[in-house]
Amino acid sequence: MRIKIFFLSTLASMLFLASCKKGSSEPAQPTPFKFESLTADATEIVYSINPSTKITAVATGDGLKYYWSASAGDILGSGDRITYTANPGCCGGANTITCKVKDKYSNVDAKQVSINVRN
Amino acid sequence: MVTIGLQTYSQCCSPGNPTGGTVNQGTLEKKSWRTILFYQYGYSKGYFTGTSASGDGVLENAAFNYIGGTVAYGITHRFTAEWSGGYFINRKQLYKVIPPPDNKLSGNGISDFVVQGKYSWIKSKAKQFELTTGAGVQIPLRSKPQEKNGVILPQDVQPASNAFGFTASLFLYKGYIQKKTHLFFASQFLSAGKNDLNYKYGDAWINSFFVSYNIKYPWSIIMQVRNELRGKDHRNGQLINASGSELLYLSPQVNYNFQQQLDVSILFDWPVYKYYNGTQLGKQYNIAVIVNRVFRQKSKITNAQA
Repeated sequence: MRIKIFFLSTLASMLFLASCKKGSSEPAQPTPFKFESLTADATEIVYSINPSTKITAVATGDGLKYYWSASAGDILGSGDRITYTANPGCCGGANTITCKVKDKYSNVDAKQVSINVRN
Repeated sequence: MVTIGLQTYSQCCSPGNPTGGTVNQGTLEKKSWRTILFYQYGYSKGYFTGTSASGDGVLENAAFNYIGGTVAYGITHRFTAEWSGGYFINRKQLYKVIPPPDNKLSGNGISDFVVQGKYSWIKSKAKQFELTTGAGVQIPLRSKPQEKNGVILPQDVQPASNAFGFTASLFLYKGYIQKKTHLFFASQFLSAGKNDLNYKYGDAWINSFFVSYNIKYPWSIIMQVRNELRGKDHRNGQLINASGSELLYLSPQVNYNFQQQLDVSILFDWPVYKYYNGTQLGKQYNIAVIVNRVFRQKSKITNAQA
């Protein structure tokens, strides 16, 4: 009986020690969330020359996700850099492109950029 | 069985939402059912300004693959209720100004749902004549636009208009049994409101004239001439100048009847005249395969011949 108790207590101790991670420390701090900027390579599209432009979102944080929409025109690609394309027939004039960034802690921010489309 | 243009709600490249395949058909007998299932492929390429081919645009081409169906029920001898819907397998655009892999957009999903009623004011088997009018509502099954990888897709590749609307129709039929010939005229008007993208398709008015001829059972052929008039779209309350069109289609169709129970048809839509407001990607053709079956009262399973 005493041997059994000794054996079980030894086993429990070993299990306890094994569950402790070597070199464990405090949990990592989350990266502060900040949507720094939203910029377009060109804020005016001259359709006959080049009907598209790149738009880049710069943000910091953990697990970032990017959501894009446009008041008119088409958005191609995804992530932090997309291509916006339009034609004057459907989208002449100023068009607004909106980017919303969200981190894994549900922090969210949005920015807009205006692109002027002409022939 | 004759079939009006299945994809009739369209602007630009890929059409909007099919209206279903029964605008060309009259009412059913009381307590009879009709089911229609179809697959349709549409293709657009090349830009047009007015009636003329114009210079390059941003799109290489556009296409869609769609499956749809209609279920109809004869509530009375003169009144039939119909339910129509479908699913875009894909609705896609290929861009020529952007290198791969980001040079394409594609939407897919359930399209709008249409419920309508048809009433026959005149329906005479002896005289082989029918005059039927109809009205219905378009119900969006989704209110939010589709997005992929965090990007809201443009309206032209959305699987549905996402807007409520209404339809009205007129159907005329005259048969000449002795000559194995049947004449049809169908007219349909479609109007929808704006959706969550603040986009409103222009109103559409489609008129079709069909002639069908029974070659020899079980084969018949149908020739359709169809005119589609579409008004300009609106976005955020602003008129979109490069929208709206007038197209004239020739649509030959071949029909095969299986043991008086099932009709299978193949249809080709060819736009022989195209007028586009502003500069738009032009429709090249549609192809459809349609299966139609009518279940009559008292377990009599026959099928209406065109």
